[in-house]
Amino acid sequence: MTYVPAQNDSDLCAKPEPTRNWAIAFLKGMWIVPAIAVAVVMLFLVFEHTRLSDVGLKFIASLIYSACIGIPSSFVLNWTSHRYSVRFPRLVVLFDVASLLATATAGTFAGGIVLQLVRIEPRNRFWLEFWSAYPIALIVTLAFGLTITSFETMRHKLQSATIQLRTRQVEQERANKLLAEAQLSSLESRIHPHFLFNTLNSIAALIPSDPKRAEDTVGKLASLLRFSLNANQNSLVPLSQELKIVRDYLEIESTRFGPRLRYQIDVPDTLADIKVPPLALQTLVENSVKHVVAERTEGATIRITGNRDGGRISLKVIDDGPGFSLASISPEHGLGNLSARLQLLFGDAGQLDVIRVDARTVASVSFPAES
Amino acid sequence: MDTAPLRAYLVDDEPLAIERLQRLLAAFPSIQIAGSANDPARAIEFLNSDPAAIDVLFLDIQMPGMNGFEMLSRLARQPFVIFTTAYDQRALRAFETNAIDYLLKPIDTDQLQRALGKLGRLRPVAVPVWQQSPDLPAMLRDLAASLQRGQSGYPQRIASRVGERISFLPLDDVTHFLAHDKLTYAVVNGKSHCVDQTIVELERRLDPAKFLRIHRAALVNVDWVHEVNSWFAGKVVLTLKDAQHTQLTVARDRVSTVKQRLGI
Repeated sequence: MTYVPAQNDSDLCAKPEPTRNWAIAFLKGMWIVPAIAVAVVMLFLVFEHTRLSDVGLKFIASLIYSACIGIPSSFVLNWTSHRYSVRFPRLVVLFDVASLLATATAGTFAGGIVLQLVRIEPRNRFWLEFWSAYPIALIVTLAFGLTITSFETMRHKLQSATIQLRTRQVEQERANKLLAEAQLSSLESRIHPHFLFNTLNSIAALIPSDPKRAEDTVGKLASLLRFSLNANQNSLVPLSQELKIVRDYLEIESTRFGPRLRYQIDVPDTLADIKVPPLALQTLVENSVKHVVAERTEGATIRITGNRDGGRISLKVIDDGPGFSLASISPEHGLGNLSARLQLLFGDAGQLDVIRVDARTVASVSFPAES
Repeated sequence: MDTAPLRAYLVDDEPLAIERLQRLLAAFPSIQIAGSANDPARAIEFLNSDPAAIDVLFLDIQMPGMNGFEMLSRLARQPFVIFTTAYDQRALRAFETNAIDYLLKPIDTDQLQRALGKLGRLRPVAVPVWQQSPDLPAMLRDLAASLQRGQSGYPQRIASRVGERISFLPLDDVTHFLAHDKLTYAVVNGKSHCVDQTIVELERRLDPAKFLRIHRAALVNVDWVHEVNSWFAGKVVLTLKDAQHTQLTVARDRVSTVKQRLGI
């Protein structure tokens, strides 16, 4: 299987349309236009004692002004906060004030023209109307514009703080979960109930017929369990110790499987003192026994080799089984656990490989030799 | 009253397990051992050659070639079955839900006595209710398949193969799976890793609370979804939390399911 990175897949990946989001925000903000018109009419009523008969006309005029100022202001404010609030968080207030002043001026001017066009104001009074409306427009625009902007800024800050908090909580929970899972899976991988009960059954069968062998098996089971329970996942043990455990394990399994399990250990004595991760070789052997010996009527021959090549140690378990697919091995236990452990102990220098060579499956672990 | 001993046949791939069961059964005069086999294929041959030759079958679950359920599904006639197993949580759950008789290895004499007592009351030997069901073949096939699926529960890691090297990716780190040119990739931090399963298999196998099918060729880890953007005409795009801010399009017909699952 070749490795092909799936990238730039135009069918699956797409570019965003940023305009779309703030266009919606802009439209949503448009309720402010009639609201301002109402507010301005109220101001006229209170401060200029406008007659009630003029209220309708005043409202239409205010509505035109607030539309002429409000729509571009809202547009510009959305745009400045979208573009500059992250880049210039402090300066953005100045941008906002400047753009509000500009839109207020231009909007009042445009509003005046519109009022003339619809004949609410006579043509010759344009500048009079402009100068009377301008201060009100400036005050109202700045007041509303800055209030809304600061409110939106606060809301955004609050939202992003909430998101950050939630992300942190999720990460914390994930870390806790990982820790608990690691502890549980290491316990499970140390004491395999299926193996334990089958071995007890073999011992029970041997007691009357071959008490000597039953006694031997109890001893081997005890040393295997003790080693498994004491094995610290993060420290290394001499290869001789690991090999003793592997031998005990294979002898126990031979009792169960009889002639179906044949094995051979070819590790030179010179490697006895090298440091290896505990239960690494054992995991590979167990994998072969579980997937090949136990699954086939004819059983299998397992060969264990070890060698040192310069600074690297390589331990191999070779069986004459049909091999196994990735889908059939459970990544939770055995090999998956071992792979994660090698990563933890040696980083990328620790490797787990499974290959087919000459109709044999070769599972190997390799890692740097400790000086 | 019929006092002829019940004829028992024992199937277990481990010779010592057969030896022990034979010895335990020898203490019961109501049982006569008609034979035993270490190989399920041999047992089928024997049992099918003379279906009326035995009354009760002691059958191991985990055996090479085929498991106990599969072997039973290939028998011409159903004898009264008592399963034996050392430890298999899936099988035990199946036994409990279907009221199937079983013995746990190493077998305890009291346990055996209880099972045989029940059998003695059923003379002339009738098979239990679950073995009389018309759905038995389908049920046995399901049980056999469920054992082959391996570990219960959802996996936490997935195996990936690069050349000859197998690596295991923690599923928490996988942001999404993509199918591309008949291959499936697990994407971790923007890097694609080839996996053996198809998107459909992954969807079935992985925790549905975590992995969500958003597209014919994409399965996303909901924990990694950063935001959901709706565009014109109902098009929905997910942005992930990875460093690349990967964006994935949700297929039109999956939009409502995806929105519901993400709580929007």
